[in-house]
Amino acid sequence: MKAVVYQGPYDVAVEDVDEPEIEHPNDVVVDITTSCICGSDLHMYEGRTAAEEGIIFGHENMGVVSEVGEAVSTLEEGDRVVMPFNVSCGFCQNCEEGYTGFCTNVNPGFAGGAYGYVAMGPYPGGQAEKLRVPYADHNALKLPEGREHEDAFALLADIFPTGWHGTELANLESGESVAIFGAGPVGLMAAYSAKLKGAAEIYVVDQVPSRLELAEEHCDAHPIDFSEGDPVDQIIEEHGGMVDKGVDAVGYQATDPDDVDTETEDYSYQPAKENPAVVINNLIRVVRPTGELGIPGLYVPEDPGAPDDMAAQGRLGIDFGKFFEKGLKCGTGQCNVKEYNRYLRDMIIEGRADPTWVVSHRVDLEEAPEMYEAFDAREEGVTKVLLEP
Amino acid sequence: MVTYRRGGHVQGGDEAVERGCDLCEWHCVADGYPELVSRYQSHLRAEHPKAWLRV
Ligand SMILES: [Zn+2]
Ligand SMILES: [Zn+2]
Ligand SMILES: [Zn+2]
Repeated sequence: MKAVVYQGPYDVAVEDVDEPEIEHPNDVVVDITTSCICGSDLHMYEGRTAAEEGIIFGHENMGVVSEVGEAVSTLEEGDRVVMPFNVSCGFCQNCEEGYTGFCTNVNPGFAGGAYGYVAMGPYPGGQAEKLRVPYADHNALKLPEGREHEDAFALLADIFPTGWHGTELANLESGESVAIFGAGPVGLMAAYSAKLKGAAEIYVVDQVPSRLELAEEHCDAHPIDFSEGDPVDQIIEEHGGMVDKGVDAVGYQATDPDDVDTETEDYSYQPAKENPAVVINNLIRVVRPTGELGIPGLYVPEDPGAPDDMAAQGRLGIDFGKFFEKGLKCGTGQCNVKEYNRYLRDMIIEGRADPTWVVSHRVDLEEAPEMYEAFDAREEGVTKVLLEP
Repeated sequence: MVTYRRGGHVQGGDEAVERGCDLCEWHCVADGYPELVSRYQSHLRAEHPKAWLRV
């Protein structure tokens, strides 16, 4: 079958690979109908991880069950399903407590598994014609049959729940104000989640005009362009003070705003363009005392492409004194997709939510290499790319 | 005849079991729980697709 295979930094190719098979009675095999390219694929694509060539990419997968292991009770051939990007068992301590992003059984020695991702276990990705799904009764979310809501349901694999998770990590409640850093797909989904939850004011920070426009148009957000000046000052001026909650949807590959006065901010690092702590420090400044930060943006314990030695070890120059002084709270970590995906699915089915405005492209799997290049270049208008085998 | 369409005591997972659907008159007698579970899923998938999404 055809699959998107990592060849090395800035290089993926569509290659012929072996088809997945049932390896355990709990498995199903899914014929992929949609698989998305994600910002976190770019971390591997750019050579910013230990990913080795040969990895099949794709952790945002949906499709139709084509083979069923004999121990699977609730699924049959022909069932339409979407898989959380997390692979989890359902019965370890973390899974039982709802933290399926931190399953200790699917990737022994590490808490958390995923499809098509470096160090996340032996689970080839779904940017391919077929995907093997382990613990399938647990890992496949059932969908109504047919092709309706195909794009929206595909976003249930990761970015819609992950954006929602960002607001949950910050305990965002109706009527509160929130600053969301990053208007990539996850930031936009966090802003959309904030709108769905009834936030009073939503500020979205980025420097790509088309992304800020999406936030304004679909999330009723105030766009904050950090290339036009310190984003914290801009938010405080527009809001008339600090906001209640903050979400970091950027992660460690944050760009240092050119306009930030590094003499007064005195960031510990002096990288050329990236400052892995800049977003967290901006959140510490912009969230009011006793407020809460949600950090679903990816940070890593090792970064081969880091701007300096400290960051290479995942150590950031966080303004912890200010964080403590303000009595802030902070939630971190990847999304436990199963915590939210069925509820968000039902909101889509009932027409309460439709996140498809974030999708910019649906293309043939064969076009993956060009789309990776365009998405990586943050080309205007390339926000979320869906691949169809 | 005593039936157990709303559940009843059985000694083991492979004992014959009978169970009904909450949403219609459908019921089934199966040779054990594993079979009952998949027949119940099949019934919901076919007759009550919205309920099937939730179980
Ligand atoms: Zn993703
Ligand atoms: Zn587990
Ligand atoms: Zn029924």
